[in-house]
Amino acid sequence: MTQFYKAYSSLITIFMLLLFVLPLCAQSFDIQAFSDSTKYGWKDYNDRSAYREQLSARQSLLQIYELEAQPVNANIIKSATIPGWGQFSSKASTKGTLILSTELVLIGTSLYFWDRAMSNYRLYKKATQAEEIEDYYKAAQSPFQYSQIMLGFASIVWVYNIFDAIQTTQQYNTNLWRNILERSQNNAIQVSPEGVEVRF
Amino acid sequence: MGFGVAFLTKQSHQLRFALFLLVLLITLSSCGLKRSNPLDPIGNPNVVVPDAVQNPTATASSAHAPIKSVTLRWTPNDPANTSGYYIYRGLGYFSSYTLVGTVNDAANNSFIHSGPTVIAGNHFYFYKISAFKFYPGAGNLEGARAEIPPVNIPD
Repeated sequence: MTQFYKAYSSLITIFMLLLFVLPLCAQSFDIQAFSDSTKYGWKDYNDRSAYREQLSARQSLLQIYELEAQPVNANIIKSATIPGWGQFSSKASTKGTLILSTELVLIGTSLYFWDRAMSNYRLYKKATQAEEIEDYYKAAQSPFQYSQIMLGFASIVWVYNIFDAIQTTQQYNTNLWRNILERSQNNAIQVSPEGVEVRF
Repeated sequence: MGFGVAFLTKQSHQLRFALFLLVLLITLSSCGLKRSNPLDPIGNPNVVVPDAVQNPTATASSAHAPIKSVTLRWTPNDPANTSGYYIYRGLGYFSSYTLVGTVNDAANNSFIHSGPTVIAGNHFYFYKISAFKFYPGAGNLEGARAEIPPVNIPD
């Protein structure tokens, strides 16, 4: 029991010692280092101020970008609904026209062959003579296969159109940001680290 | 090295995509129309196509006969694949043929065609004959149409 009390009291002593000694080793808060503007590459307060203004200018450009940028998801849905629509929205009208016309031609050709196949297939279903049954079936089968092939190509173009809508939109947004930056640089009033610059 | 691996990976992805498209196209083109006609012997294995009519002949009525007619004769088919015969007539080899008679007995081997459309003169009649087999619920399946040498009816 006595041994337990001894160990207990020595533990308390060590704890108290640590409580007093550790704060002595702690580093004091350096207000000078904290407020030192040169550590970020700024020479003085004016430099920091100019950087701030630049940052706020960039943020306002970002707002313009957010307003003018094309959302990728929306363009995917547009292109999935009407092939080429996403490209048109991203101002790639040549690409959009090409995709839309290719899709229309392929679907139109597929429908044409489908119609031919179905008219022969109806005759096949009504036929009662062995040779006619076979002839009408063959006459229906070939255009049906062409129709399927055209539909396959149309599906490929449709898939490519969605893939392209993503790429075109991303390219459009990249170019838009570049243009916004260029436009801001061509403004008459420029805010630079050297100060406010006005061009006439 | 890294670029080479990336290039190869990209190539392999493109190759896989092209292969997928090829398989898709082949699959789509191999899809066929359903043989839904109940009389189609390929679509329905229970259907038997009637045999073509053998040895068909056409004989015109004799000169000065009061009633002009054409008598058709043939070798009767096996009743297992035949329920009767259809007789067609055309005014030329490549003209359209009209059904002029039906014989509802497989064992029958003749048909006499007469009436207002059977006229004597300086022209030929072209006959064809085919056998048919009756399938309840589906109708008559007609076999190949056998041609008969043209016949002229004398005055």
